[in-house]
Amino acid sequence: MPIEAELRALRGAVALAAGAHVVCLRLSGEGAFDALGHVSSADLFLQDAQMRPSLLLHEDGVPFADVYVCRDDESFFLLSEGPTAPDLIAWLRAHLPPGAGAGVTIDDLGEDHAVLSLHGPYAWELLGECLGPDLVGLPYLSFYRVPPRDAGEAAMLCFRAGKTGEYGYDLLVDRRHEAGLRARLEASGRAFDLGVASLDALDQCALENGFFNIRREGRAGLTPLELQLQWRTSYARSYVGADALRARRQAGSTQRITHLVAAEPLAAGDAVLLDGAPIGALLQAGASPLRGDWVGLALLDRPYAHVGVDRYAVARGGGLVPVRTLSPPLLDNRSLYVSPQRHGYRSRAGDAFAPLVP
Amino acid sequence: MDSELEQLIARRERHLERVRRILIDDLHVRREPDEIDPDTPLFGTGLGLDSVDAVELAVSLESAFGVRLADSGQGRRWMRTVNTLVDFVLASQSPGSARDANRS
Repeated sequence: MPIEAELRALRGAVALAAGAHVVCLRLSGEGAFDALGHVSSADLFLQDAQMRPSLLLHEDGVPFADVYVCRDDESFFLLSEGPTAPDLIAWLRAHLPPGAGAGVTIDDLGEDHAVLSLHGPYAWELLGECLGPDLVGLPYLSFYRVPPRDAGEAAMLCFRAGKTGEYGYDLLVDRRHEAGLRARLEASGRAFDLGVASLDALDQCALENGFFNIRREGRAGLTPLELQLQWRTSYARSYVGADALRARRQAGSTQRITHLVAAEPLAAGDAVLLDGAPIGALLQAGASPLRGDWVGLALLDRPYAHVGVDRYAVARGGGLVPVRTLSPPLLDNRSLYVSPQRHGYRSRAGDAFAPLVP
Repeated sequence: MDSELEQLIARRERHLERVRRILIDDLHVRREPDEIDPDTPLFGTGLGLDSVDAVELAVSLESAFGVRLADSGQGRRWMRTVNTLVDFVLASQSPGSARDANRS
């Protein structure tokens, strides 16, 4: 499926994605909470079945993994993007505090489970029809154990998260039942014009909506101060990378990421100029078929890192491409307006929604 | 940087600072102003505001800037991040309406 069709399905209906890029661990044992508190950049005030976005940082404050920490009674699920499962487990083992680490069991659920994801303004509806109405009202950043339909089936976990700006659900399913679940979703999905979403499509959505992407800007050697991710950090606690963050904050960060759009192609690495002088560079860029232009994420010198500016240009092939800096989300997501109480995919023709591009 | 761009950015920074103060003073967000990045999400993730906070935020914005967020869906798109709130305020204060906001 061309990426434009993937994006249209994801932004307008529902799209199914494989979650091979997501590592799922379970941390259990008496020291699990203390152990996670020692490595998580975000505070972990979580009730049972709640999730929280956080980061695992290197000692220099640069993100190592982009994680959701999910509390399951006295244990925790860690949904992670970035490192592989073996690398993540090794990193955790190396960084857990000596006292707490010994009492913590780390299980790689990916050994016998797979992740399937649904994204889109009507993902809740397909999920409800396929797996039960309890899922329709699942609050954002929480998870639910979907009971098995019969004795031969295992329970699955449904995490409501997503990094596309649309309704998003990650289903953690026993690998023996993955094909069956996929078939059920595809069969029910015909009534929803279910599409597929590749990792490239998910990454494009993350870019358009301003979600952090560990595979893109997360590999640029930046800290949460440049990445506008301080909301995922605490300056009051001690954790791996915290000292580096405090030092960077005290010294003053000199750059900041900023979204921009252009009518012509852009590419990562392009220089951003003001009146011919460099003020930054593009970290990533991609065509946005639904906007009808190109969107990019630039690392700009702090004095220039503001939105609402149309004076900058990107150097491309010996010429200059005018750009405009904008606040993400760069789309007015349909999911912002679709309500499970009032809307449905089959009756959508009678609904009036705001245009995707304001 | 010429004076026109300097003024544009200075105006935006002033508004960002005022919105940060509203979040801290009126919404009781436990952060220092410099910890609240412009693209910080307001609800769910980010600062973790809820629907009650949204009402308080709308009241505070009206009091501070003299601009009113619509109760309808249109208000939602402005309440996504600190930056989108500032977009709304700047657009509302411009000769055009909020519909002409410098976002598209």
